[in-house]
Amino acid sequence: MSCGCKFIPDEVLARLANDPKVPKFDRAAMERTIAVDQEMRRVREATQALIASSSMIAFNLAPVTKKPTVKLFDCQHGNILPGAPVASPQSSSDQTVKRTFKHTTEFAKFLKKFYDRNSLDGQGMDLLSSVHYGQNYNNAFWNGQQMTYGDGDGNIFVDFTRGDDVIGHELTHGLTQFTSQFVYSGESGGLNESMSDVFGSMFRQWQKNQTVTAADWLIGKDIIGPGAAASGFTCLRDMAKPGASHALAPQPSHFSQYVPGMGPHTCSGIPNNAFYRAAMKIGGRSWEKAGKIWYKALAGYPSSPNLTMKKFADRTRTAASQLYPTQPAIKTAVDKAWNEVGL
Amino acid sequence: MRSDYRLMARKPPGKCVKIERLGGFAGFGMGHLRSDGEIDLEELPEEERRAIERLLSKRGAPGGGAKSPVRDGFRYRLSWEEDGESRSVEIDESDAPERVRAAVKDRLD
Repeated sequence: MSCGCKFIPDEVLARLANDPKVPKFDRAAMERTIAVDQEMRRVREATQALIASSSMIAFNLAPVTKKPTVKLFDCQHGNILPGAPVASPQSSSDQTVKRTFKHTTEFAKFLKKFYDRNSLDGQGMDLLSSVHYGQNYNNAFWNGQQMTYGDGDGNIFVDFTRGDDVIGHELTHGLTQFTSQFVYSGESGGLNESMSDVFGSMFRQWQKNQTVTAADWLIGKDIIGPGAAASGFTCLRDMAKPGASHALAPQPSHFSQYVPGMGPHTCSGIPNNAFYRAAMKIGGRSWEKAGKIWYKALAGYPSSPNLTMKKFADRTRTAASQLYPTQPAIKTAVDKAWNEVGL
Repeated sequence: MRSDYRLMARKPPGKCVKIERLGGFAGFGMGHLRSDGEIDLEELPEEERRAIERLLSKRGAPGGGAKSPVRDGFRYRLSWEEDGESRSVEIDESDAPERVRAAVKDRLD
């Protein structure tokens, strides 16, 4: 498997490394770069192969009994991961650490209690989170192994750990990595992002014990900073009204608006809106019936990196029939929800 | 170093690099979120200038993108004028020198 993320091919570096016209210091640096690149490529390929094979094995195995340990690290506003380990994060005087520990632990319980999943990989993997990343860093991300959270700039965004849906969102990227492995571009990229919004939103609703009608279906409401709020923005995304003007990043809500090349954070509005519609039609608490249908569509199949939105929609239709064979109204609700967004 | 394209237009071609930060959990570059700035290569120490010029030499090439395991990571688009034409390259945050990361400022549009 080749790596497509390099800037200078090895052959060019090698040529320059052997060019006597290039200063000795630079030639040595190029040789080191080649060695590091090659090692990184080996590690990346081994990791991808391991994830793919473990995903296939885990698909047919009962969850093991190891419980995930939640570990916190403090980047102290630097950019080096994971940062300094935090002892006893559950009782830390740092509210960011304490909050991240609490929500991450709760999310692991959420997965276990409602979806019988033992951590992100189904095997009880430890959950690593780094906080206070960077300076005024307006982001949170999953890097393939752990979560990372910035403190926000205090104007557009505040501390990203203030959003339990944000924490649920990032953790769900790990869940997707160990299940369907949706590629992060095109329709599968939109599905990848949508899974994170769906499970992040359900987690937030569960934490508040909200029914579908009581929920606000907003993503990122709790991290909106005073500057953004003063401009009339209340959230990043709105699953109920993806195109709403109160969202910092409005999205399409119907598949007719999908354009090839659209970014994952844009086209996720379509499956987000389908989930909202299905949950509202089914009623009750989103994480119970609608959530179980979506989970089965995400994690109940072998790895499917390039799944289309239509095929994912069909998976949920099948899952609704399999999970609730005596309640055809649920299958009808899911079917209608997808039809309403053009899928 | 907030972006000011009127200033950029007065600088000699090939010296000024416009930088946009894209993506992330919030989706910078879409909707109302912008993050941008610029770097004058002539003002940089030699080592930093050459590091950025190496990035520019792979113009048009996308970053790790879909093959990277990172989700919600930032990407940086570096754009500049060369021989009267607009050029650009996109890189993942992990490949962005500190000078590039520090050049952008987040804002609402």
